[in-house]
Amino acid sequence: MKRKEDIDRLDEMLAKHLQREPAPFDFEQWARRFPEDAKLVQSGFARPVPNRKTQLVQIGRCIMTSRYTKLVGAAAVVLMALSFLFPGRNGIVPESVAWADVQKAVEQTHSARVTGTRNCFFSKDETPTYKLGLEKLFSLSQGYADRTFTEDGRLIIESAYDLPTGTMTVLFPTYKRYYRTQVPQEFREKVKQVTPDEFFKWLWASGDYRKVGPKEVQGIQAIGFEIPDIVERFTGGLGLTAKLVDFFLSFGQGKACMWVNPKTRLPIQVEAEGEVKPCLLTGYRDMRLREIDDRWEFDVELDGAQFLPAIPEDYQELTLPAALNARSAFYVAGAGFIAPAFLAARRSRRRRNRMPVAAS
Amino acid sequence: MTNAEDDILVRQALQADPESFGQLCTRYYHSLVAVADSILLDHHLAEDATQEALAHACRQLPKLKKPELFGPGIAAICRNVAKDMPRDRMRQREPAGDCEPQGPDCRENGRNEVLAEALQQLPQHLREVVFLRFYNEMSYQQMAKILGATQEALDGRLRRAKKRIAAFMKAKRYEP
Repeated sequence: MKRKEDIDRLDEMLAKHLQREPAPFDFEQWARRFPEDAKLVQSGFARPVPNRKTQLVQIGRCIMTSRYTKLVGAAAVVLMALSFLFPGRNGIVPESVAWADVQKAVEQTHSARVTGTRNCFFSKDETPTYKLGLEKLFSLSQGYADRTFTEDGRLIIESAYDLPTGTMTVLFPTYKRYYRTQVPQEFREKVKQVTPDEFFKWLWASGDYRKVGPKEVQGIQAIGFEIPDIVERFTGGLGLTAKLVDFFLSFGQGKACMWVNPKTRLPIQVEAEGEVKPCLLTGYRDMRLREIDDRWEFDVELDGAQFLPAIPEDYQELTLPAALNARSAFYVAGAGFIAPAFLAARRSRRRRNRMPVAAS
Repeated sequence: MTNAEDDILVRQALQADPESFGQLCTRYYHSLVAVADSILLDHHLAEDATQEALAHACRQLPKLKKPELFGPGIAAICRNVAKDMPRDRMRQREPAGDCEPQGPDCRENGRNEVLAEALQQLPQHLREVVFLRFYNEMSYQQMAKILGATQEALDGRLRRAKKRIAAFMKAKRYEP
């Protein structure tokens, strides 16, 4: 509204619209309508003021206009701001994150895709002998898959477990071999524990962990949960005997640390490192293994066929010796640590010939 | 109509002088009706609310700590009474009759309806100022006294109110 004429016209309209000729105030009429109040005025307020019934709205108005209400409101706002800036147990300060929070957050996910690296050290050098890539898929309803790749992205081993059918499949593309078996019914319940939440429960839920950090991980001030005896927990969780484990993959001392985003309470990186004693899968040599799962994607859409992969026609089936059963084979597949051993074996024909895993 | 006069009238009313109380009521009656009308948008209901507000004010008179602020005090009471006015007492406004939009009379009716709608869209504190200003051609000084605000503040509110009304009318394709 810039023009003066517009203002004048609007004034004129408003005056015309709102103009009233109210009747003058008539005290006598008012006194007839409110006799008690009129008597009060006439008596000079000598009589007590009539106590009218208090209405709910009046109480509400009293509360809303009260100085104390305003102060309490202001205090509540300040407390909220402070609790956000300096949160307590359930706040976003990394130290305040408890393992139960992480477990709860993980339980609410239904699937996950994890990628990272597995480095194998056959000497004391800091340079890994083998650098391998990995991909893990978890699905609460469908199963579990673990793929290991060479540095140039070539798949060297793929293990998968299909939860609905209880079928475990291991593919060795390098050798064009495969192993497929039905996990015994009594063992399927154990297998279900490979899902992320159950897996984490084995490893960390006992409460026997150490909180580390906060430390900047992937640009986030993350809090870590470290466990020293990863092997005992892992094999204990699956109910495997030490003899079977040692035959395939004999772990020495190892530790793992899960770094958690304090905001989402979900893992952002898991680091595991440990010694592997001479065993079948290392080619009977000492090995040091360092695995870093540094990319975690939760609630991703996963194709169910990935957990029951199709076997190419030119692949030959592997058979395990009678001493080894599906339980131990599952351990190998689930642990996903066998790839370096196959690489090691490939370098040494002699050692590969000593492997008890023979082509059928 | 100064604060000192209000002070004297309140003190006299407290000493059994109904005439002084009557004078106080007469002074503010029209302003209070305008305030109530700005909330109720019904002149007759506004008069009822004002009379009830005066009865409330009468009961509160002995408790009045600052008699010179009688005006803003009773305006606040009047606002609350108007807001508490039971909905069932709200009278049904007669809807405007249908007419052809091309006719000049109809165009005028339409403009008035849009203006009424624009007033309803205003926030209460702005609508109150518009009603006080145009209801009974009240001066800024009188308005300042009843609302307890400075004349500059009231001028600002009035400008903002007019701007919003004009914008609303333009949006409805009615030039002010």
